[in-house]
Amino acid sequence: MRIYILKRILFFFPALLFVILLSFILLHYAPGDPVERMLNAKGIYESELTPGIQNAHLKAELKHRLGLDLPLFYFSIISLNDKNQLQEISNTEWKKYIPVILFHNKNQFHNWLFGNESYSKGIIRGDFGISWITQQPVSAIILSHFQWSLFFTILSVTIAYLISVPAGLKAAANPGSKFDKSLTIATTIFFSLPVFWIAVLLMLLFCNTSVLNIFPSSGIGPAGGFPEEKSIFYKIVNSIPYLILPTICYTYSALAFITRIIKTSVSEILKEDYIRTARAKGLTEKIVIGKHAYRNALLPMITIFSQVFPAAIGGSVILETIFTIPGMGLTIFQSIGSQDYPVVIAIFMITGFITMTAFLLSDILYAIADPRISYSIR
Amino acid sequence: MNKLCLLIIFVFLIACNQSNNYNIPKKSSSTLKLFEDANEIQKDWSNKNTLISHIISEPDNLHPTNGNSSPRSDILQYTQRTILNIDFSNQTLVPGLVKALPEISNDGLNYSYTLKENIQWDDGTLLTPKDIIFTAKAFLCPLTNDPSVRFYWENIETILFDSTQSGKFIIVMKKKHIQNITFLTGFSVLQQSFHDPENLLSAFTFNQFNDTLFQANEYPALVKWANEFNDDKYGRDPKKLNGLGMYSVLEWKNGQYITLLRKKKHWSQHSLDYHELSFPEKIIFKLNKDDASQLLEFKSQAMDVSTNISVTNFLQLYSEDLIHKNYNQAMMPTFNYTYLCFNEKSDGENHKKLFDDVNVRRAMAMLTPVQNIIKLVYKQYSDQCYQVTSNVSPLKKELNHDLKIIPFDLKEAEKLLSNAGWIDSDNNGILDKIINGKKISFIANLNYLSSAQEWKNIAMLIAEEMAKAGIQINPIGMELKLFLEKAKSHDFDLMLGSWGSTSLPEDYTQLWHSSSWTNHGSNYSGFGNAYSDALIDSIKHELNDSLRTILSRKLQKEIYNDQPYVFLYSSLRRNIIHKRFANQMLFSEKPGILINMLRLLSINKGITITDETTP
Repeated sequence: MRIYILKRILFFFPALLFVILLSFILLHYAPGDPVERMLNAKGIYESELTPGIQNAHLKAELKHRLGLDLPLFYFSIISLNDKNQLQEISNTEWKKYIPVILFHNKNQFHNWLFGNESYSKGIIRGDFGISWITQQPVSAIILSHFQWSLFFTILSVTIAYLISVPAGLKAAANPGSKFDKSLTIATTIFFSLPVFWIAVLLMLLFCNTSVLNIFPSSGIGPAGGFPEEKSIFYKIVNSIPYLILPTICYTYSALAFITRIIKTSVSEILKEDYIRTARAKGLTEKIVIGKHAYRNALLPMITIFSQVFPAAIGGSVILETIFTIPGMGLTIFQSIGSQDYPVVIAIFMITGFITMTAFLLSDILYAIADPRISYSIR
Repeated sequence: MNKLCLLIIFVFLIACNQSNNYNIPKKSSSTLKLFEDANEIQKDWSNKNTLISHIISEPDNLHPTNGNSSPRSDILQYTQRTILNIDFSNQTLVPGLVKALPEISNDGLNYSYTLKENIQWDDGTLLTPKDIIFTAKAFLCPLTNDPSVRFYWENIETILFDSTQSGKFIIVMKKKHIQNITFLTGFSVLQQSFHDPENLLSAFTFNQFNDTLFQANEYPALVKWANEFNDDKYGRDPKKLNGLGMYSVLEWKNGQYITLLRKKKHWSQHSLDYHELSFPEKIIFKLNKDDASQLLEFKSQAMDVSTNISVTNFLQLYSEDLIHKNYNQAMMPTFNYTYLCFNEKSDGENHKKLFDDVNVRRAMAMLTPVQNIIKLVYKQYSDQCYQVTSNVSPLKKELNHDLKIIPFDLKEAEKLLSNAGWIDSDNNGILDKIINGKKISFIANLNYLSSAQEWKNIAMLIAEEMAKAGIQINPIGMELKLFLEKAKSHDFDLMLGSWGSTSLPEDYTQLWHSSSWTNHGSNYSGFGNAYSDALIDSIKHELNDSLRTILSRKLQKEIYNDQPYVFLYSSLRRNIIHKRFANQMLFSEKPGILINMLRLLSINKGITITDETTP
């Protein structure tokens, strides 16, 4: 298994390099001129007060500051002999035929990766540049929004698993029972209800002075925050009403989906020969399902779990708009709409990184859950 | 004991009466609406002196120079102060940080101001002309991230100050221009010792910053200063948001709210000017983009003020008794106007030459159901909405009243189209014409913004009416960015848009000068000729109001006759304010409500509180 995990990790790095390179090329070839965007050209007009030459001057200066006047990539291929000459090392004839790639640091890719002296620290140090629209550091934008998307994703997935695993197992263990039938109907309904409709409906029911005014309709906490002197416990307890409706909306669809997956996969496994054998051996139904069937039904659950983190960075535009949640969905939507490519590309790169990490993790978990996977590699 | 009580009540009443001395307008007008204070205080009204104001988008930042979003300027007017202010009751300029309006030299180039005494920054230091000079240089420095507003400052030749006369400074302009004074209403004054403790900018002259050949990047110290000045923290971190305003930023929760806190012992404490009042102890700007959620927030009294709710929400709220009990609601006319723009100078290849004939444009104006559009948008409020006839708001005195509304007239429109050669030769229901030997059908795309349903409704209505005359209009919704790109590159047939404006004198170069079409500026239609350009150039340099009005009316007539736009209507701002606050004043100028002057009513007495809320 160790070799399997090592191999997976080794595959991870070239894939990551590919994502970085692709992100950079996309950023460069994305439509629109970053300098033009930063100068917010719609606010500038040509008049005798702003002659065209002045705007051209401003653009040239900003271009230089951002390092956009440098070549995209800058490397040269020379022979090992030439390189030795540069380094004053003795040469031999055969070295003439060995090519050497020299990377130079005066190029945009290098600056993007490692930063330049004054303007950027580079993505290696977590600096994804600045937003073309708000001029805010991209990393700050992502950090401030990612936490809420991640919070709701983890919370909703945890709740969904806590409910759907026992429910799915019970339904699979008792096929055709009232519980099974009710669960099938409920999950079908939940799965088909559009989230924007449910969100507005819940709000109109539970945040409405004309019906029930139990929950606040907007935000993830009181406007203006909590008084400083209040304890953490007080703040958590008083934040709960703000989180209930969004959590329901984030959860119900996933809950229906996971329940159905678990029910189906456990039902399939319960038909296997080894389950019949286990029952024939006189094991209790609890042990048959909990130990033998459930472990083998873990694989689809791991697959779903590996998709949680990439989904977290995607957020939900609809729920974030309706409940005023400062999450990633709305940030991505607005960045795409305003063609704020540094933000879009940073999110693309982080999503790629997280997806690959999640897949790596799920592969490892697969191997733990089902040793046959690692055996086959071996 | 009784005497003591009487004395306390007497002193209290005098204190209450003093509140009437504030320089607050007393009479409503076409651009100002005053609400009477509530007589009765409801039990369920909050007695917190915290005002929650609704915003539908966050500011790009709160940096004093670098930014241009609308919520930013709405918030800055409470955290920053400007040299001059606009008096919203009569749309005139009034002194802000200065004692009086400027003395102007005969050549119209020197503007002398004197700062008010005892205006202090938060660290206790006094505002001096050095701060004004620093402010101008900070805006002008090529390395600061303010290119969208820099041109306002580029007409400054230099700023002089007399060290013998405390607070006096003279702004010397390069050219006479109508915005030489008014631009000072829009920009915050910066503290030199806070943003430039080493006084670096004093080593650079206005001439250097105005010189297009000036290589700012060759001065490492200036680059270093600019990098620090432009840093995001000066636009977002409450500890670094410094200003002369009555409020400081206490907290900015991204995507949630921004809280302002009233400063203690502020220099404006005894000011009677309503711009400088600070009755609410806290102001919270709360973000809410969702219509349904906004509605519920007002129903549950979670929000105090909004100028941003949709027409649908406004009408929905208006129909609720509960809202009437708790809120005042009104629509106010604004200086903005909506228009249908023709591409007068289409290339004939990507876009057919449909609108190069003024008769066709006039016919289209006759086919546009403006009254129905207004009814569609504002429903029962449509009678409050002005139909516009020119590029000048009906609220402004320079409006040319000779220009009459073009009525909806199908027959006359058909006649004009027929005279222009557009007939339905093949009886397919669509007009056609032979242009350069080719038969062209009258089919045009109408671009509109997909961000709001209202635009789509208007576009559909126009298409429906035009079809009656044999013109096929295809409405195409698009995002703002694409919409603007197409407009600026003249890649459209027809487009629906709107322009924002203010009560201040306008420079029409941006929208109507022919150079603004050739430079891919905001003259989307291609309007303009030598005469109109000369008028525009004269208007922007004419400081005499009467003469400028005459010129402006001539320009309006030129535009009216050329018909580059079908002028539709002047939009109404939807305002709602909780009745627990007194001093409610709505005005046409942006931002529509000054929330710093809203004064919490006493829960017990039904009169304004004096002990807690008086600054």
